[in-house]
Amino acid sequence: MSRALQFRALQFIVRFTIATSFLVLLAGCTAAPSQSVSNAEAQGDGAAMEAKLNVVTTVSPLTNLIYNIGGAHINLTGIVPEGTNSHTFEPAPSDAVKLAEADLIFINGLHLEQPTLQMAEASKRDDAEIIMLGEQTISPDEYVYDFSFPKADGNPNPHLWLNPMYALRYAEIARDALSARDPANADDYSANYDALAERIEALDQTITETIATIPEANRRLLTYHDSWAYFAPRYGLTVIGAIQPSDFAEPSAREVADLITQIRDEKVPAVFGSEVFPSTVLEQIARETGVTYVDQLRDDDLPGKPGETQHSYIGMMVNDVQIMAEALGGDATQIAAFDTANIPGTDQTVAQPQ
Amino acid sequence: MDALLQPFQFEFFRNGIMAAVLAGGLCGLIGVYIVLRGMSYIGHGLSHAIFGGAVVSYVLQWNFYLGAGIWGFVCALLINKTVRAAKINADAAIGVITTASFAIGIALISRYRSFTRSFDAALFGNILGVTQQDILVIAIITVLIAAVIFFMYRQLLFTTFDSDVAQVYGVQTAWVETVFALVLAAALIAALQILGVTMIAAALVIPAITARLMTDSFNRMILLSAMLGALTGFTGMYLSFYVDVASGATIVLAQAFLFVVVLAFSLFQNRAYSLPDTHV
Amino acid sequence: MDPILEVHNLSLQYRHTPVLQEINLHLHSGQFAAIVGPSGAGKTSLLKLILGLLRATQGQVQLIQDSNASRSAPRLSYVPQVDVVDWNFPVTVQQVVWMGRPRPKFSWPWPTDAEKQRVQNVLEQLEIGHLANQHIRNLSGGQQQRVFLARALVAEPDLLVLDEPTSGVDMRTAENMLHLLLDLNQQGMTILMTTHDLNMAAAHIPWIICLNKRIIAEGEPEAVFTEPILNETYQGDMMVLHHDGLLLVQQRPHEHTRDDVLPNPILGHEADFLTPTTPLEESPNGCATPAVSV
Repeated sequence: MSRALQFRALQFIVRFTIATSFLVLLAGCTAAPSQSVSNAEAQGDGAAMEAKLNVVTTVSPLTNLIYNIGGAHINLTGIVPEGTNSHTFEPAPSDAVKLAEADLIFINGLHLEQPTLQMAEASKRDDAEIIMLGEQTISPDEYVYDFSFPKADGNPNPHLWLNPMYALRYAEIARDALSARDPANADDYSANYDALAERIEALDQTITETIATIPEANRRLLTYHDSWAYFAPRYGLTVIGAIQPSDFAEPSAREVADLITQIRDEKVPAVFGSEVFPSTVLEQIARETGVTYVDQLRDDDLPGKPGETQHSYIGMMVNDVQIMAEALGGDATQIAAFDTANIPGTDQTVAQPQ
Repeated sequence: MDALLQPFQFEFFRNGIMAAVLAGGLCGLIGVYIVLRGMSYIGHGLSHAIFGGAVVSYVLQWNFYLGAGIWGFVCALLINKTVRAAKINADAAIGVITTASFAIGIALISRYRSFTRSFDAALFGNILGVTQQDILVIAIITVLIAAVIFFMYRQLLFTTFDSDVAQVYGVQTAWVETVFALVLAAALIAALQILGVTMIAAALVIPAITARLMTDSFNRMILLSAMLGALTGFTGMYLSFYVDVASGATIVLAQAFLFVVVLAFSLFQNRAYSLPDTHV
Repeated sequence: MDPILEVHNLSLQYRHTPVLQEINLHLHSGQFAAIVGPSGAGKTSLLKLILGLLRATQGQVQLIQDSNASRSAPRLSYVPQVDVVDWNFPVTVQQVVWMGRPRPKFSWPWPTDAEKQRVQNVLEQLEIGHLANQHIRNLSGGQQQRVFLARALVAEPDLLVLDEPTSGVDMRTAENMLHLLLDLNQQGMTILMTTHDLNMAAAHIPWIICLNKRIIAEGEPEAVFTEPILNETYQGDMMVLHHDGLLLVQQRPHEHTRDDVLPNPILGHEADFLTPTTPLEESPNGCATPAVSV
C-alpha cells in the first residue's frame, strides 16, 4: 500500500520538477540555437559536429544494438540507467533536454517505456522522429500475453530483444533509419549491420547447441516475472508461469506456499528471480525447497562496464544463457567462449547513465 | 484438522508467524507510551525517516542496522528537542522532521537513479522472507526493550504522564527521553524488517489504543497492549494464508477489527451507564 | 529565620518580550507566601524558574539548605494547575502519588509495601484514603487537587510550590484547600503559591507578593492590598474595602455598567458597588463575598 503511495509521491515529485524545468527550458531555447552555431564555428570543426546525428534510446540492450550500427558516426545517448526497472522508469528533467536535442529517438515500444514516450512526444523537435522498434518487428497477432503480462491489461510482453532474431531486426530498422537521415555514412551502417548479423546468427546457433546440452526434463524456466516469452520457444524451453503477483502488490502467504508446492511438484532444479518480487522471500523459497535461486539473469542491463568487451547485447545474452545452462544442468563451456565484443570497437563514447 | 495446520508445514510461515508475534508484541508494548504522549504519528513518521536513513546508509555502504538505527534515533531526539525548545506541537515537529528525512531518501534515490522500484522491499525485507537470524535479532531487541521498560518503569511513567513536573521530582527526564528515543529507533528497525513501513504505524497505535479502551490501569494497559499486538500478529498472519491477502495488511486489519469491536462494546457500556444518570 | 530561597535580580525574556524583570525575592523556612497578579503577569513563569524548569535570561535562583539538615539541597515539590493535567491518563490515585516518592536509582515497576504504606498515610492525612484505587478522572475537583497535593507531600519537600491551587473548583473546595495548606504551614511546611483570589489571599495568607512582570510590592495583606499598589499591579481601577474586620478587593465598576444596570430595588443604590454583574456567593463564614474576576 505505502509502496504504491511512496511511488506515487516519487512520481509526483519527478513530474513537478519536470514541469518546472520545462519553463526554464522554454526560456533557454529561444537563445540557444544561434549560440551553439557560433560556438561550433569558433571551434573550427563546426561542419563535422553538426553532421553527427543525435540519437536517443532507452534501455541499454537497445542502446548497444544501435551503437553497433552507428558506431562513432552518431552521438548516442541511452536514458534508462542500467539496473533500473525499465517498466517503471520515469525520465528526469535532464532527459527532456536530451530528447529535445535528438534527431532520432529509438524506443522499444509495446508499452514498455510509456512515460519516456510521452515525454519524447512532448519535447522532441518537429523534424525529429520516434521509432518504435517492437511495433516494427512483429505484428499484433504475434504479441505474447502471459502470466506477467496478461491480455486483460492490454500490455503485451515487451521483451522482444531477448530473442536474437528480433534483436537483429531491431538492428536492421536502426540501419535503415540512420541511413535515411545520414546518407553520407550509409555504407558504414550497412557494413556494421552485416558484421553484426553474422555474429548474431552465430550466437543463435551457439545458444541452440548449449540449450541442447541441458537434460530434456530440465528445459523449463520457472520464473516469476517473465522476460523470456520470445526467447524460450525458439530454443525449446518452456516457461512455467509461476504464481503471478499483480505488480507492486506484496505476495500473500498463500501465493508463497503455492509456489513452494509448485517447485516441489515440478522438480525443477532452479527458480529464476525477478525484480518485482522481494528477493528475501524468494531466498526463503529457495532455502525451503532446496532449489537454486537464480537472480542474476539480465534482461535490460548489460554485464560489465562501458568499454569492457562483455558490455554488449551479445555479452548479456551469453551471460544469461551461461547462467541458465549451469543452473539447469547443461554444458556452458561453448557459450562462455563466445566473442562478445562490440562491432565498432569500444563503446565508451556512448552516453549511458549507470 | 489438516487444513487448519496446513500453513505450518512451511518454514517461511512458521518463521513469519513467530516474527509477527514478536513484532506485534513489541510494537504494542512501546505503543502505549507513544499513544499516551499524543505522538501517535511518530511511528508513521519515524519509519519514513528511517527510510531516508536506510538510503543514506545504502549509498554510503554502511551497515543497515547501524545507519538506519542512528538516523532514526537522531530523528526521534530532534522531534523531542523541537517540541520542547520551540513549543511546537508534536504532530508538526514529527511532520517537519520525518518528511524532510524521507525527502532526503527520495532525493538520493532520484540522484542515484539506478535504484529499482522495490527499494524499500529490498531494504526492509518482508514478513514472508524473514530468516531465523531476523527472528533472533527481534527477539533480542524485544527482551532488551522489555528490560528497559521494566527497570525504568516509574521514570518512564512519570515522564509520559507529565514530563515537566517529573523533572521537579528528580526524574532525569532528558535522559529518560533519550533512552526512549533509542528504544523507539531500535524497535522500529527490528519491526521494519518484518512489518514494513506502512504497517509499523498501525502496529504501534492500534493495540495501545484498543487496550486503553479496555482498562483504566496503566499496568494492565501495557500488558494488554503487548498481548493484543502479539495475538493480532498471530491471527493476522494465520488468516492471511486463508484469505490470500498480504500478511502485513491482514495483521493491521485484524488489529483494526479488534479495535472496532472493543470500541463498539465500550460505547454500548458507556451508554448503559449513562442512561440512569440522565433519567435521575 | 533560616533562609530557604533567594532570588537575585532575575529576568526572563521570551522572543525579546520581557516576561519578568529584575525579580528579587526572599523566602525563609516556614513562610507561607502567595504571588498575586493579573493573567500574563508571569506568575507561572516565576514558579517554573524557581523550580528549574525554565532558564532565566539573567539573574539567579538560589536554594539554601539549613546547616543541620541531612540533604545537600532543599527538595521542592510542585503542584501544577489542574488544567494542565491529562485527566484521561490511565493511572490510579495511588500511582500518581507513588510517582512523587523520592526514588532510588533502581525501582521495581510496582510500589513496595513501605511505599504503599507511605502513600496511604499521606492520602489518609488529606482525607482521600478511600480513593487510592480510583482512576483520577473519577474524582471531584477538590479530590483531584488533593491527589496532586498528596504527590507533592509524599516527596517530603522542604518547599512546596503550588500553581493556582484554588482555581477551577467551587469556593468551598477552594477554601478547604487553603485551610489544608494553612494546616501544613502550621506544621512547619514552607509554601509558595500563586492565586487569583485576592479576597481569600487577603483573609488567610500571611505574605503577599504583587507581581506584574516585576515585583510591585510585597508584605502582609494589610500593607500591600492598598488601592495604589493594586492599581499598579492590575493596571485597573481597584477598590479596597474594610468590612467587618475583612479586607475586600474589587475592581471599580465601569461608568457604563452603573448606567446599564437597573437600580437594585432591595439593596438600593449604595449596594451596587458590590459588583452588580456577578452574583453574590455565600462564603463559609457567612459573609457575602463577591467573586473577584480580574
